[in-house]
Parts: sequence; structure tokens; C-alpha cells
Amino acid sequence: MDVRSELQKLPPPDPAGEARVWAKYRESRAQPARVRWVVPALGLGLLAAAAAIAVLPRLGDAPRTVAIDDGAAAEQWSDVVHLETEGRGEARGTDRDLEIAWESGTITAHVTPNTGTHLAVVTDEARVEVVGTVFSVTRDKLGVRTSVAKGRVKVECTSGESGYVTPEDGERTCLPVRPALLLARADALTDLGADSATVLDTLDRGVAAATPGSLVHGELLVRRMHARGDAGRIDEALADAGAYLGSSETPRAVEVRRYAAWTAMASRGCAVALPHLEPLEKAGNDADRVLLAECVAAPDPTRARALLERALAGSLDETWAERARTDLRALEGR
Amino acid sequence: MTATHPGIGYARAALAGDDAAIDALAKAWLPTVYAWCHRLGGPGVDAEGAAHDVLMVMCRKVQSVRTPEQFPSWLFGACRRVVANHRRKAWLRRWVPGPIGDRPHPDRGPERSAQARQAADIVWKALDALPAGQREVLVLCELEERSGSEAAEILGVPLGTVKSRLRVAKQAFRAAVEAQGVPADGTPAVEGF
Repeated sequence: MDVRSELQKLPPPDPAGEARVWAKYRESRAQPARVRWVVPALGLGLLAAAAAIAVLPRLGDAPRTVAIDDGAAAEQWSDVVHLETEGRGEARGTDRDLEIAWESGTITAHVTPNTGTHLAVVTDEARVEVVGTVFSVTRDKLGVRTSVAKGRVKVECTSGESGYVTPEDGERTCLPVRPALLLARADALTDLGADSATVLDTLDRGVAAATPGSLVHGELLVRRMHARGDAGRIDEALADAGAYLGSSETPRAVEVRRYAAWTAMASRGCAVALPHLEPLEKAGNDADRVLLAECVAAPDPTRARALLERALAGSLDETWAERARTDLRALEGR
Repeated sequence: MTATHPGIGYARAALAGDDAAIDALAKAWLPTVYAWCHRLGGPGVDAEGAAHDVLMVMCRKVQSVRTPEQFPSWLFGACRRVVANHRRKAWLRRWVPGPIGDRPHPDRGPERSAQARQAADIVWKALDALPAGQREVLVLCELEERSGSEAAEILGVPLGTVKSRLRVAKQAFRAAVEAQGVPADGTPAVEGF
């Protein structure tokens, strides 16, 4: 089904309507402000009073939709539901049966217990359902976090986990399910100083969910390579480097090769480092060339000398320059 | 969007305090605002009343816009809020007697009009079932055929958000149409035809 052609089935706006709007606009602009507001306000007041008397008993049965814009706001949805919001979403339903599609930010819902009220907050990552309680749902880079002040809510995460949350449980988080959002969560966790196991769990989920070869998949692999390396899981970090370099989109190839080469050199030796060091002779920097020279010195001292001389003629800092000079002296002493 | 719309010069003058430019700005944007109100509000909303309200909001508050380039996005935000208010109030009209129907199309006989009306009803219902953000991106990108960058500028969100929201909106829209029993070719079955 082609969405665009389906939408074209909608009737166009009435062309004569523009003229009517314009005439009404000119009329409103021509009237003094006091007259413009006082008369309609009185009329509206009378109309509202009449409508309220006529239909008040049935108000609670009428489904309605309320758009919630950015910014702090409070909405007394009904006599049994009060919403406090700081974010964006849309609420729709009746007084006692309400569903809120929540896009971003925090929503706190106060639901009077034992009134048979059904309220659900729905995001891409979670569905939070409640019968009589006070609870908050926050959607941000970390995912969807639910906390309960009073009562009990049922949380169903899109990723599969589900369960009940009470005030004693603290905060329950439903992780994002889309790879790009998992990447954002991993970065946010790193910024917050979270432990490596938590970061790696998020990255593992992201790598599993992303399409191999996509840019997001590559970024997740690079993040996981660093996280695994930092956690001392060298072989796994090198495996991530290999997976990244083997994919089609590798905008960070030099950075990944350097990390793999230096990590391998420090813990696994030249045999493992050399496949990553070789491509860095051209693409890398002078420090990479010093390391490459050290790895090729035994089988090919002439090439090692040439590499060291080129590095020394380049832009090494003093520490690396001293290391290169030491290597060069060792070669000349052979 | 901002570079090509004829009202951008008026926006600059209106922001500078030129009262006459406000009317010119309203005139230039009236077709767009009216179409937005019609498409975002659906058949239950008085699009003419909503468009009038948006223009009056523009008159009162246009000078709060910081730059002319931000005017389209600001106007769309005003439109979104006004339409949301009209949608909220629309249920009241259910108690007001009188038919609410489409205009007969001059090129179609009564049978075709009935068929077209039924097809339109299905699309309206499908659109109404979507969250506001998805409805907006469908209207801008698919119905008004604006580019993703234009839609991102108007909605005030990143291009990537527009793309992902559009993808989800299309899926939800298709599901909502199919949930009404429309076959794969998209043609609703009309009883008696």
C-alpha cells in the first residue's frame, strides 16, 4: 500500500474557505480589542454553562485527545487522574480509561485508587500500566525509567522483560531497543561514570540489534572495543577491531588500527600487532612508525632504520623522539 | 522552506514592528495555515475557525519570534497548539444538531462521491489513530510532499528524527488502514457498488 496515494484520498480544503477565513480575519483586525473579546467571552460563557448543564453527566464517557507540549505543565484529566508533565506526548481516552503516548521527558501520574481507572504510559521501549497509584515515567538517553511513589504498576519492556514495580523497588529501566538509541545510552552511561559491565551490556545489545555494515553497527563496535580493552578483555577487544575493519563502512579505520596495534603490542607482542601496524606506515603518524620499526627491526633492520629516520624527521614529541633515537642506536650497534 | 516562501520578506518587516506587514504576512501564509488546520485537525475540527485563530495568535505574538528564518517553525507550533485545542473541544460539537459532510465533488456523480467519502473516512480515521508527532510528519512529508529537511525545519527537530518518525508513521498508518478492512490495493469495498 502506497501511503502517499492513500493520503491523496483526503478531500482538499474548501477553496472558498480561504476567502471566508480572510474576511473573518479582516473583521477581527478591524474591531477594537475590548469589543472583540468581551462579547464572544460572554457568549462562550453562556454556551459553556448551557452545554455543561446538558451534557455534564456524560462528559466522563467522551473520549478526547490532549497534546502535551514541551515545558512544565499540569493537567487535571478527570476527578481521578492528575498529570504533571515536563516533556512531550499525547493523551487520549476517557476519564477512567486513558493511554498516554510519551515521546520524551518526565510524566508523573496521580491516579485515585479503587476507582477502576485504567491508565497506561506507552513509549517505543515500554508500556507502563497502573490501577490506582502515583508514579513517574522518564524517557531520556538512558531508556525509559519508571518509579513508583505509591501503589504498584506493571511494566512491560519492549525488549521482553516485564514485572511489577512498587515504591520499595526503586527505579525500573526499560532499555532502548533501537541500535542508535542503545549507542546514545552507552555514551550517556560512560559520561555518568557507570561501571564497565553496565556499559558493555548496553553495547552488546546494540551490536546484536544493529545491521552489520551500518554506521551505527561500526560505532557500537568501536565503543565496545574500547570498553573491552579498558576492562582487560584484550582478545575480545581485538576481535571487535577486526570486525570493524572487516566491514564496508570504516571511517574510523586509522583510530581502530592504532588502538588495536598499540593494545596488541603491549600485551600480545609484535606478531599480533604487525597486521595492524603495517597499514599505519602510510596512514598513521610518526609514533606508529616507531612501533612498526621496533617490530620489523629483527627481520629487516634496513627498513627499521629508514622508518626511524623518517619518524625523527617528522613531528615526534620528546618522549617518542628519545625512544626512536634509542632504537636507532641499538640498530647501529648491531 | 524559509528561503523560498514568499512571506519571508513580510516576516522580516513584521518582526521589525511594521504593523502593515503583519496583514501581508497573514495573507501570504493563509493557504498554508488553512491546509495545516484542515489536515492536522481532521473532519471533526472547524479548519476555518482554527486557521482564523492561528492568524490572530500570529498578530498578537509574531514579534516574539527571534529571526525571520524561525517564523515557519514558530507558526507551525502555533498551529499545532490551536488545532490541539480545537480537537479537544471538537467532541462538544457532537451535541450540536446539524450535518457535517464533505462538499460534493463537481466531477463525480453521487456514487463516486459516496465511494470517495468512504475512502476519505478511512484515511481520516487512520490519521486520527496516530500520535500527533507522526500525524504531523505524514502531512508534511507525504501529503504536502516537503523534503525531510523542510519538515525538520518546520517541526524544529533533527532530520534523523523526521526520517525515523516518518518510517514509524507509515507503518502505523498502513496498519490503521488495514485494520479497517481495506484490501491490499487500498480500495475500500462500498456496499452496493
